[in-house]
Amino acid sequence: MNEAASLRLLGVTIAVAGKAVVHDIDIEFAKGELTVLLGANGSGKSTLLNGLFGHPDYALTSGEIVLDGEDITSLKTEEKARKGLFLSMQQLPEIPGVTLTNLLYRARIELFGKDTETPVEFHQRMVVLAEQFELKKELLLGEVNRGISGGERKQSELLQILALSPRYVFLDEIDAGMDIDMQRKLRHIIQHLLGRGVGIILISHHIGAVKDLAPHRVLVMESGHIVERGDLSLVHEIEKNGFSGISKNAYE
Amino acid sequence: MENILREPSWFIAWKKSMDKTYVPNTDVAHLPEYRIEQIDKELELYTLKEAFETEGIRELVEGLLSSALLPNPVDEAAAHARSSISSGLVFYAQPKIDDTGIAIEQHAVIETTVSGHMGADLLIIIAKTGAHVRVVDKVIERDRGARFSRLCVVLTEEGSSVELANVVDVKGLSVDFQRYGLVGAMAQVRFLDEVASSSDCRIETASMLIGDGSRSVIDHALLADATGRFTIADRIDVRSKEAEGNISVAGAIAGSAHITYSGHTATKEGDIAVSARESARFLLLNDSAGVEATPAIDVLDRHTNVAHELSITHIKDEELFYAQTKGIPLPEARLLALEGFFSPRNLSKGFLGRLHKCLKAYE
Repeated sequence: MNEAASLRLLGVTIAVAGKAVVHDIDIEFAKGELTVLLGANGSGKSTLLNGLFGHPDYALTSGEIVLDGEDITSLKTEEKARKGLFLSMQQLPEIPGVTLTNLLYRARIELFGKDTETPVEFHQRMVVLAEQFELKKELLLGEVNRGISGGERKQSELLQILALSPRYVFLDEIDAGMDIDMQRKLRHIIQHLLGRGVGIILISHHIGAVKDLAPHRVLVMESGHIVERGDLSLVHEIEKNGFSGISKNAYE
Repeated sequence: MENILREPSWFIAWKKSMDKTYVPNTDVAHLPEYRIEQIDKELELYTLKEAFETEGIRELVEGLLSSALLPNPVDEAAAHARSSISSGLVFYAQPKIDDTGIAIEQHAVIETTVSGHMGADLLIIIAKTGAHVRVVDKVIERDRGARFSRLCVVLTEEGSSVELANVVDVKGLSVDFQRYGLVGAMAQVRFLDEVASSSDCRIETASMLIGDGSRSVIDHALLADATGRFTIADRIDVRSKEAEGNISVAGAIAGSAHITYSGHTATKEGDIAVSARESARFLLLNDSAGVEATPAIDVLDRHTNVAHELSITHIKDEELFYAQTKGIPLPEARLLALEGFFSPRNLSKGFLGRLHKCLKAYE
């Protein structure tokens, strides 16, 4: 076990409707490192993330989540967020009538306590941040995930990460629905976050995009198990042989 | 209607105390107590007795109440409420012009305290040509178990506007409001309300768009909780050209409360360039809450522009989980979703507080 790793999953098992679907997962995440979680559809990647964050439909039935030596397994979802964990879900729900600025302002109060920044000042600062990273500032005054495209929803998640300054970010198919320009911006933001010591865990089906990001660690899931661990060379292998070729080797 | 005007109880004498609270000076029990929180000095305010003793105002009030344009009571309860009026207030607004010659809005905030079992009262707002008025009317319950009926009649002459905001935050008081707007050419009447109750609540609102270019808005923010039974009936009658009617209902329902809603926008042939919109949205906060909604729009002219929306929903687990992953605790996430449901209405602190308590009770 790497003691320098700040966030560790130890033997984590996730059940859905009483049935274990993700089994005995051990992963270490380090600050400022990019971990990519790959796997075919239905292999358990999103289930793992939802279970880690305490989604009501997913139960973490055994194992531990350890952050800087502290067991945070039983913390509530919002308490994990307060510890610096951020989840960008694959399917992003609408919150009708609530603007992104309002959601983020409330979240900031919960995460950092009441500060002297008024909602208007916060919004102005967010506009500057959006412009700096070439994200759509109009999203800030729009309703959360409502009336916008899939790619814009993902942009909204990036704005949230920039606003809430998390320590570990779990991105579940953040690149889905993004056009080529937006993918470039995403790469830029990921590099920016890594440079600031943020640990990033990325689920993606875009092998080309993953190669460009040059991840520190690559994990492959199948049937709820981690079946392969490696580095960028593993991504090249998956590109060449597909997941079926990889998992075949893993079980041999 | 004429019978109501002859009702002897209308002529109860009133006195105005030093703290601007109007109290009856007779031994008649259970009359409401009006407290004038705020009023622009140019805005004329009369008690019912004063209105009937003031030349010019009396004729207006009598004419208004006997107008054929005022809808008949829809049922026996409404008829009884109208025939038992024992007190009331009359606002009379002339245009107020600022130094630059622009007509500006005149404001009043009144608070009606209801105690014991009582009958009905009357609230009349008359805006003369070019006058703009906003009246906030708060109902406070002193004793639970009472019943309070109010007839509101609003008249806007050409180019004037009235906004009547009814704020009701009660637990055991049964409330029965009948609100009628007669809207002149290029004039506007806005009926807003914010009603939170655990008891019976009946609000019937009707606007008649009489003059060309007239406009009316009926906008409800409702919270029915515990065993509350709400009956909300809205009607906009378009009788003119280039008129616009908007009905908007947002209702949250908790406990075993129930809302029955009917909305009706009626246009007639030849009402060209009329715009009508009805939006009825209900949020059920638990499984035993209920709603029955019947919106309707009559479109009899092909030049009419209409839109309609009806939704009955609940706060979804995914919404709450999403907010929680951002660090917002579950109760605050629920409140955020509820505030979002009422958006774009800016809710009062009192209503927000009641929403918060309601959410806590049904967590």
